[in-house]
Amino acid sequence: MINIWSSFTGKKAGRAFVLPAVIILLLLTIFPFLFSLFLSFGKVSFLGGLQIHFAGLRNWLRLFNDERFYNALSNTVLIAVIAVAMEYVLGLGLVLLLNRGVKGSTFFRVLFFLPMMLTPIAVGYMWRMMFNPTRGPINHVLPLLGLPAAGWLTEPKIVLYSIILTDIWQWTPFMILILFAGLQSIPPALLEAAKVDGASGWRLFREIIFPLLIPASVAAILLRSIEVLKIVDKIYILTGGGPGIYSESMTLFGYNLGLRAFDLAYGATIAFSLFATVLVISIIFLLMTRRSQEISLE
Amino acid sequence: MKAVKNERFMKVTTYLLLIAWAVFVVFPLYWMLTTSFKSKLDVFLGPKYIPWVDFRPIVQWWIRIFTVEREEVIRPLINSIIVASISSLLAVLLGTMAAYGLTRFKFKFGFFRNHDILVWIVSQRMMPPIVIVLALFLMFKVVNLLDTRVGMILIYTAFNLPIAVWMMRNFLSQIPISIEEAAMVDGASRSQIFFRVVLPLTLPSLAATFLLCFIFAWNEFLFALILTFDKASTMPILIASQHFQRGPQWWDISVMSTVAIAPVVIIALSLQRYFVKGLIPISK
Amino acid sequence: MFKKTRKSRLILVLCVSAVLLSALGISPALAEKRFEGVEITVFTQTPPFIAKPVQMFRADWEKETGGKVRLITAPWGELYPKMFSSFALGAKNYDIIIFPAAYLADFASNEFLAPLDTFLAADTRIDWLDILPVYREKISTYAGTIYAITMDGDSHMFYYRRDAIENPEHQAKFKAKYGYDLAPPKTWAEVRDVAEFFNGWDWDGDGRIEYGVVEGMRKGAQGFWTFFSRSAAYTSIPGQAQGLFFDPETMEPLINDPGHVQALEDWVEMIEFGVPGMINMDNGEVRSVYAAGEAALAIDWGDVGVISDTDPGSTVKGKVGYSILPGTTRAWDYVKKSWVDFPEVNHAPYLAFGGWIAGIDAKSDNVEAAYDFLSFLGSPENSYICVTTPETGFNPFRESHFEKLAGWYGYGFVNPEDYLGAIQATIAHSNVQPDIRIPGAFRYFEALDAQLAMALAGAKSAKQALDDAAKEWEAITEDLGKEKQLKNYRASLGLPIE
Repeated sequence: MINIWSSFTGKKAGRAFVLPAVIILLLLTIFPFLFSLFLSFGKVSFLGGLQIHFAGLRNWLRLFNDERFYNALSNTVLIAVIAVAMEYVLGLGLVLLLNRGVKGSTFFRVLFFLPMMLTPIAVGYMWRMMFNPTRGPINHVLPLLGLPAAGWLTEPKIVLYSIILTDIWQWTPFMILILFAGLQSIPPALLEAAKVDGASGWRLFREIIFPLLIPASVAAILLRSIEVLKIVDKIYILTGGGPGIYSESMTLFGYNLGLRAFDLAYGATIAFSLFATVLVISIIFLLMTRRSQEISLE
Repeated sequence: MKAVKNERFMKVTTYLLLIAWAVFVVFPLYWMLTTSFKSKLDVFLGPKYIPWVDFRPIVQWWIRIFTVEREEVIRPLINSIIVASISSLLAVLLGTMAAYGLTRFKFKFGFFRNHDILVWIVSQRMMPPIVIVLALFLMFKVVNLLDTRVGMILIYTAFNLPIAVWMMRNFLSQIPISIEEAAMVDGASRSQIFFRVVLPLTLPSLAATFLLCFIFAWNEFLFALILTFDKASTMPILIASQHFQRGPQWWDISVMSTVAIAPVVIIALSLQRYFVKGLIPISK
Repeated sequence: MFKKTRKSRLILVLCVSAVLLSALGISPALAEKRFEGVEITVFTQTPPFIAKPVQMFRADWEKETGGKVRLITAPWGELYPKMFSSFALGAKNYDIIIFPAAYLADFASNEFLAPLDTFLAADTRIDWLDILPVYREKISTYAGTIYAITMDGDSHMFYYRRDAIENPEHQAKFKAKYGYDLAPPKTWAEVRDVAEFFNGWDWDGDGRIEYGVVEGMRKGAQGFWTFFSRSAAYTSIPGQAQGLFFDPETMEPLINDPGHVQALEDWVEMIEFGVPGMINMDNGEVRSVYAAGEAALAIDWGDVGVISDTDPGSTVKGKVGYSILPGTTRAWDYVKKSWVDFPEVNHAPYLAFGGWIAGIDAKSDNVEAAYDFLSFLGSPENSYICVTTPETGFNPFRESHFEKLAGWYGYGFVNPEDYLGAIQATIAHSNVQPDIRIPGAFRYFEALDAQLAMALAGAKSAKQALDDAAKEWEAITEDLGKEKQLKNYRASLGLPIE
């Protein structure tokens, strides 16, 4: 098994290492990618087998005139921006707390990782129970604390924040994970030296720790943003996109139109516009953080 | 004296904040776990908080999944275990190989150089599943991979490869090449170097990468929803299926969610000591 | 009871014949087994509901024919995409599908389903004429051809808590407040008053607050059916062709006419008098909530009635009253473009959803075995067992289902005559309105659903939401071909096609 490669030398050996991954990705993503792109310029009919006719820009014009598209786009971006920002701030705070070396911090760290191990489908149901207006603990406890109960999943003004809350619950652990690893990689000697120089508390953080955490932060924020822009499963369970279309994300929008109403061509158009969004946001983010990118793709 | 006081104050606030977050993390999980022991009436007339205090716990729902619903639960569970672990192993193996190739050799395919190949691989992660899932349905139909574990293993491998390549590349680029050069002088071939020298060195990173891939594959929903319908369906699909005409069956959902989280927790705990160590390179 | 005797009789007959046949030296396998070695796949909703009958009867059928039945299931929201993709892409994933009648026009017009007329003509077991005409002639039929076997009868009905309405104290208080007698509401205006009256206080003395009404409003669920149940009486004039969906002369959408707008305004107002979180509930939750005793009124299929009386977790057993959907005192005439007043209440019960029906993939390799299983499942005897067994999700659809009461008492019903009476009154009503049955039904529903959700959430006025939905309906009609859709629509209403 191992000797398969022994005949390769030099450049050939290099290809043998890289090709399997490239081939799998080509097979499983490039063809579907091109097919969907084609579909977004087509019109599909099923009578007498699947047929696709060229329809020019029809689907794209429809998309740009569709208020539901702008709604889904702004929902998705809003969820992504707020959730990722909150997760980052909370994750950073918790990592600094965990790093103080108090007893039991390993226990806390392991405990904190739990939410990201649960499937988002289950997370959706779990929080639907929590948010239930009459049977859920949240609306039961809040009035006891003198706070108002709310329609967490039914009020248009609140619902996105409820979804963001569940995302924070589930994915702050991911930030903790990456940032904690980043913190571990800072040489202790460096910190000691800074302390000897009289740096402490806020200054130590601002001038030493934070700059050294920037690569880890960029990585964590980028990965999380990519994932959260594709959000669908939690919303699918929590609200189905409601009330109204106030919590419909791009993927859910594409799924509803493309697969539930079986308008394949329009569904593909929506999906593509999402891909473009993810790409644009990632590129903007990478450009913005370019200077601090030893990690990255260099 | 003041410093000691200050330190104690810091310690207490640290604990308070950690405990506050722990409560936020644990309470929903506690709610799910207790719901799996509640009668229907206790669910509907809720909220009920503490077993034996404000409701009488029952084990009916747990017994049911080991008896009446055994068949329905076992198959998705086994599918999930097989699909998630094999696809994660493959993603880690192929991803590490690719990362190794990209850090140790210079490539040129037309305009494509190492950096472009890497960007292309990693950017595949940005592609939303909804873009490709329909075409995959058609493709899988043609090659008879619809509703098969092999099909799901393939797609999850592809889906996790970008992450694996990216993580392992960051690690491998930090291993000093001198070690390998020494081995080469001793007459070892590239493959021997890779499998006998490099892999053992990267063990913590391999474990961390594997765990992340496993979590993503284990919990994935959209591909499984569309590309499986019976024989190869996975745990997230089973959980989502507990919602029908009569509304969500909260008790069954709770039981199955608990079952679904267990294997991940076990694997995570057993790989725990590698986890942070293994992730250090990507955060540098 | 019924089920037990039938089963034991069957077992007895089987044992006796097995003994006799083996005594004669004939293997029963050789004598009878028509479909030895054939495996058919049945696709429907996740068990128990709808899938349970298949689980109940497959062993009997397998024993009789030597075939095998494999059951494949998916959650409600995934049925249409999975069925459509399997057919459209020729995947042949399923031989039999048990599906909501609303999909029939889509499937049949794309030639996805096998025509069943010849099978039915030769079938001695199914007793096709025992099935109520509206199901047999309309719901299972597309363009004059039968494509499906009726499995389930379905119409929306109205539920009220008798213990609440019959309470003299409540009656006195109600009369003082509204100036007329408290009774089961006959019109949507009365529904509003009764819902308001019973909202937000503990009217059954159990120490918990109850609410006025519970209706399924969740987006992506069954809300649009509730909407049409509410708009039918505002838009359907006895004797006139259906005014619910399109103008049958021009294919103009009618969903934004003043009748529909009025119904949507009524519906939006209900949120105020409903169980908290109602806007996010699907009908499944409506049933659970109503059976838990949290609301005075409900709109649903026959299921609220079933669950209230038969579910062990129900707190309202025997307390539920049943009626045909409430009506109106005026309706919008879409031809004359004006309101018409009625001296008596105008009812227009709506066959929302139209029930579950079963069809066969036209490309299936096992059409005969598949039909045989359907005929077995839908026979008068077996279907009676289905409609009177908990968790099948099937409601009565044959003359004979209404005639035999024993099974209904055995099922746990306290007042089966009332329940069956309300269903019969609905189905047999002269102004009964069938559901939309043209290709693309789900695209129309999906577009309307999103707009209804906007109105319910308060983001748009009822008029605005329905205007926008009508625009989308026109676009969908254009997309599918206006001429073709008009023909389909007229055919679905039984109107002449020129």
